[in-house]
Amino acid sequence: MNKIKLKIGLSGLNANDNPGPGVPVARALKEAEKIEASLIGFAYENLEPGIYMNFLFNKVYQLPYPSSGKEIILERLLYIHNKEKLDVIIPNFDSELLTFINLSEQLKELGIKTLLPTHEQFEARQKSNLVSFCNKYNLNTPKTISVFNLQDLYTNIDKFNFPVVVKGQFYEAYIAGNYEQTVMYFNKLSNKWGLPVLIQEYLNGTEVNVIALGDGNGNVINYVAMRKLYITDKGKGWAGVTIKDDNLLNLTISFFKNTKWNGPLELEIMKTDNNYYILEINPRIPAWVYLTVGVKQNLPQSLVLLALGEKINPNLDYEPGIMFIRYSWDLISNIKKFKTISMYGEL
Amino acid sequence: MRLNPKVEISEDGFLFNTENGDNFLLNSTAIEIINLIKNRKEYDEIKKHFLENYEIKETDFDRYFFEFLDDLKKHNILIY
Repeated sequence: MNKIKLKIGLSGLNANDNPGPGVPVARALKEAEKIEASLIGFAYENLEPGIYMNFLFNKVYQLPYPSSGKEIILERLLYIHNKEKLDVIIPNFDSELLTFINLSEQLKELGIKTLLPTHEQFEARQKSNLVSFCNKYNLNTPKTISVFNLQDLYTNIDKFNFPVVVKGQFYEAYIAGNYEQTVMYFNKLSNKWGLPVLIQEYLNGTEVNVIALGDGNGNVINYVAMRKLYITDKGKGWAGVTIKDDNLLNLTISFFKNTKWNGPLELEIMKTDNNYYILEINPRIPAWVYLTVGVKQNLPQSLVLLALGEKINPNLDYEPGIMFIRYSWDLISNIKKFKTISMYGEL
Repeated sequence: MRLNPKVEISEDGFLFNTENGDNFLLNSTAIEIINLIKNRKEYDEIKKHFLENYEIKETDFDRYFFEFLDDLKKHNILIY
């Protein structure tokens, strides 16, 4: 089969104890049957391990932080595109997604395709809007409030029984057993990720995760459900196994049919007895995406093909009992590479 | 008694629920009971099998057997 030769830019190259999706997306694209991918990495910090993985990335460029603003980021992307002639960009961080959504039309005019939710879809499922989003689409979700300051917290904490879950607006969540712990985590998360901080009802059950890809027309193209087998102290799944739960599949199909979601997403769901509660809707690929390759779905390949306008038939079947086990691996590199990326912003 | 069709059990006693990812290691007695249930044996026949083949008091068998069934039902391995 002739593979399509493509140059694909992607971010999320951190692979430490809170790994980004970039490296597993890169691995999936390198194993794609229909694509011959030349990968260009986008990094924010100069010690992101993906920078030094020259077996995955032909070149890596440092990007300005999303907080620099759309124009600065576009200027950098233009520089990269002039050198690399990108076909597709896959942004993998929550914090940069809105910027790329807002730039998607300009990127398209340059010939760079993306597959991203609309601005409305992105905003609607934000953690702070999750309750109204779920009510609109008849989905269960735990009771959640957004807290902007300690007075808010003090006034509203009585609406909950302890323990509660304290969540940053982008990342991280902690279980607080009392008010003092809640205040401590509020301060920690607001300093790190800004406001609001979310306070969420704690549910006892089994957490399951779904990765899925929508075509923007209400169809699910890829779908895999996973249960974590090992969770680190940061709440990250370090091992997991595929499961086949018909109710989960139907919930996912219904979600995509109703929202017409465009692109990848992760649903974090708590299953209690026979109810399914949406904990979070992450509008991008999760770090465990390589498991989709393990079950012959290769979601990143499907994403790229959809971005190019190809029609793909849904593939929702897979084998349960396929595991991923994450590991730590020392890369050997040279300080000269570190110097180059630090001083020149590209490697 | 019927086992959940979504549960896979290997011959050497590894039990995996494909619907929710629960997994257990069964000891030899549990494997034997599960195999009898798979062969559509009901309580009376299972009890007769154990009383005839093992040195166990009837009251002890009942206690352990029903505790085991409760565990199976709690984890959605046994469905009626």
